[in-house]
Amino acid sequence: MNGLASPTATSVSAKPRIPAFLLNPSVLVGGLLVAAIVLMAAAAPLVGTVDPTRIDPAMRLKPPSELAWFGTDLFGRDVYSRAVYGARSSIFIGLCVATTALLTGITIGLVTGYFRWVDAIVMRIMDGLMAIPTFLLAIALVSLTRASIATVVVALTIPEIPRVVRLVRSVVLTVREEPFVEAAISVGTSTPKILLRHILPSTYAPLMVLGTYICASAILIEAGLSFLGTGLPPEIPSWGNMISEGRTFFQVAPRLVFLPSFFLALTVLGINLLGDGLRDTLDPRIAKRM
Amino acid sequence: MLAFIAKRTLSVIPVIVVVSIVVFLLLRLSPGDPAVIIAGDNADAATIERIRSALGLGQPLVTQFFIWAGSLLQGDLGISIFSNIPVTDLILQRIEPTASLALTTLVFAILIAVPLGTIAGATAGSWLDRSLMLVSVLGFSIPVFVLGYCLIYFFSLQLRVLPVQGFSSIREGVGPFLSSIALPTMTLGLAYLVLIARITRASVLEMMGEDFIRTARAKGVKERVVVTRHALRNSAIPILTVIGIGVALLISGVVVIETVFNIPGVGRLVVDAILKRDYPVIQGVILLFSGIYVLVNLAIDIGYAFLDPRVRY
Repeated sequence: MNGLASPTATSVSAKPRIPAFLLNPSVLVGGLLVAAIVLMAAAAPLVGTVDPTRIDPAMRLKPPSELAWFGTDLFGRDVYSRAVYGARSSIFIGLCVATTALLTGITIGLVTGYFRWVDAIVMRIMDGLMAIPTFLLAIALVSLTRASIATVVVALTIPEIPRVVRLVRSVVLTVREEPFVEAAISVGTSTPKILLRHILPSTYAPLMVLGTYICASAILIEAGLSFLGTGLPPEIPSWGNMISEGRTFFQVAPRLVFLPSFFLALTVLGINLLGDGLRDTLDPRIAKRM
Repeated sequence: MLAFIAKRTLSVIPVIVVVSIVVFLLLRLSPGDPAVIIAGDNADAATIERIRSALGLGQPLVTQFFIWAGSLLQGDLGISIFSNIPVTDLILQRIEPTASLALTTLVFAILIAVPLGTIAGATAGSWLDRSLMLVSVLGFSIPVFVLGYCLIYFFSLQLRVLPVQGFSSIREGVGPFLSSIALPTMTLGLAYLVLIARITRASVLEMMGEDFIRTARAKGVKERVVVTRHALRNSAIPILTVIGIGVALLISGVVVIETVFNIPGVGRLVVDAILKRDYPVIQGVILLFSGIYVLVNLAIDIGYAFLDPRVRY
């Protein structure tokens, strides 16, 4: 279908071309959602919030009012402000995990895909890591260290690395046999240069898509860990922490759980839509690789 | 056929070995003294020493591993640091609710997902297909615990038709069992259902473009039969694969869901163990869940060989 549509799309005149993926409805809606959340996180002090960590015993569990739009929590903290500031934790974690996992995975993947002797060993390790359900591996890693943003990022990154390695490796294995790589080898190009200049660029499109999925998955898992009480330290406003604290009062004040849940689901939805749209427009074959 | 089964079964061994090495190393390679980590912040020297000797942490790493792996092969997962009960017994005590929930979820998800995905794939572009795709993105984006609370709010607090929390064994009667497990099943099942439905749709849609579908239609086979006998049947392998991969989703979900609905299962066991840093229990449960995941996928791979003779070669 895409093959039929492209001649008309590309043969148009000198107008500055808009990349096809920007016109995809999924990318548009997802991108707008993500942009809105990022903007909200960045402008958190400006959107009618108060200090999200200020404890006020006189204001415990108050219903919504003009002072506190979504009421207050067990410690008298403003629920709306905490939810807005919570976006910062989630986005930060998502971006950190996606970047670290991609960079580590690319390095391992390039090396294993190119050097056959490393391949057998590394891929067995990756298979083993992938056999441990992501959430369990993350929770086990976190349980070993004191709760902090850094340990959560590391614990979420490690289970994602095998997915990146597998993807990069599969691209390298195909590209390695292409004539242009053979040509580069025959003129005596050094191996690092072949890997970085000639092979790496082929991984960009699928990695962009995988990166969005890792980001979404990291945000979900962080919320899950915090929900179980093993994630970020409780004083950091994060959606998972808020839901975890709110669940005790769920029957009397469901808003404590629903507001952060809403933001959380909306963010993940936005990122997933963006990823789906990018996958469909950048290269339909990407889906088969993942 | 036997050769295929044997080969595929043997290929599981390296995976299991790597999983057990990873699980073993998790504690040993963590920053700081493992005995101190397990004992927690306010432990005295005697407690730390007791934990160190219980886990054999004084010996060289390789010796530790072989002792640990040796007892593992005999089905001994070690002894809980806090309750002093063998981990195997702890897991056996808690396995029933978890197994019940996993089975009901499996049945629930497959029974809805396969027909839904098939219809969507056969009528690609229809309103049903479009709404399924929309719901599927939503299904992937809502965390299980959020969905759980939404369902509790609606069914238990507003409509008051189902219990808020708890688990009732099937031995106490089918009625109470079903009403206690209905919400956890729906919560856990949504993401799984959506995953299976998406693959079913994609696969059926791909099959609908094949030549044998045109042939079947040309010879006058009814459309219903074309879809179920020809398209769906040929989609069996991708559907089975995703059911296997999705087991990982079920396992992660169970850990969270049992906390939301207060179900005394293996998921709750591991969460409690993590909060108390009861490492033998954490290791045992991770090994159990990873083992189940690997074995389910092995069984599915072997299943292919029965479904499709081409796989055997």
